[in-house]
Amino acid sequence: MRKERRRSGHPTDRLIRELIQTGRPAQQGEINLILERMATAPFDPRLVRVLTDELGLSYQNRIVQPHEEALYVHLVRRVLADEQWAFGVTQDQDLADLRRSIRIASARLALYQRRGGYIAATLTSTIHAVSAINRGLRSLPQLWVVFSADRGIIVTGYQVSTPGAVSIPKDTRWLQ
Amino acid sequence: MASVAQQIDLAAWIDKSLDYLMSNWDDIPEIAADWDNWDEDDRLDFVLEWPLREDRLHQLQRWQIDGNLSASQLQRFAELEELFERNTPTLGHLLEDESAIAPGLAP
Repeated sequence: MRKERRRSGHPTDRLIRELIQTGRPAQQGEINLILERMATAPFDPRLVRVLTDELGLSYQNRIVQPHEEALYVHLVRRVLADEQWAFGVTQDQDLADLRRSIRIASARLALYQRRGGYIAATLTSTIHAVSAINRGLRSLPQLWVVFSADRGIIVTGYQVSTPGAVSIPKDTRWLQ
Repeated sequence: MASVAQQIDLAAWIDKSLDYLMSNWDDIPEIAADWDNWDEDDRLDFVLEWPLREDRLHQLQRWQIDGNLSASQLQRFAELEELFERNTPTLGHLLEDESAIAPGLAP
C-alpha cells in the first residue's frame, strides 16, 4: 500500500495540486506564480540512494558514496554519465542553469501526476538556458526541469533529444 | 562527411552508451528485488529520471540504423536488445503507471 505523502503547505504548491485535481484553466497570473515558485525552489535537500554503477565515481575531489547529497548525484550523472554539462561545472552553476531555464519566456509548462505525486515541469531550448561553456560534449536540444509540488523542490533536470523524449501521462496539462 | 576525429569521437561515445545502457538495464532485477525497501520519494525520482535512458537507447538505435556501429558494437547492441527484452516487464512494474504514458505528447 502506498504511504500517504506529506504535502507542502506553500500556497503555490497547493495551487499546482488544485489545478491538477480540478483541471480548471489557469490564469496567466497563476502561471507566473508557478514559474516563479519553481525558479526559486531549492533542489532536493535529501541524501539519496545511489545506483550501483555510480558508486566510486569521482567528481570535484569527492567520491560518490552509497547515500549522497541529491544535487551532487544529479551533477555527477549529468556531467560524467550523460556529458550534458561540461566537466568542471559546479553544483551552483548546474542549479543556476535549471533555474534560468524555468524563467525563459518561451519555456513550456506542464502539470501532471506520477505515482500519486503532483509535478510541474518546464521544457526549454537548452541553448537559451545553458551557456556554451557549461554545455557538455553531448548536450541535447531540449532541457526538462521537474518540480515536485508535494515536496516544494526541484527533483531533477536533464536534456533530451526531442520534446517527445520526456515521458509524461496522457492527461498532462500544458499551461503554456 | 564526418572527419576521422568525429568518427573516432562518435565510436567512443557509442561504446560509452553501450556500457551505460547495459549497466542500467542489468541493474533492473536488483532494483526490483530491493524496490519494497525504497521510500516513495526515491521510487518517484527513479521514475522521473528513467526517460534519460530511453532517450539514449533511441539515439543508439538511430546510430545503428545509420550504420555507425562497428561489428563488435553491433554484437553488444544485440546483447543490449536481449537484456532490454528480458527486463522490460520488470521495468514496467517499477514505472507502474507506464500504460498511461504517452511519449511524443510534448509540444
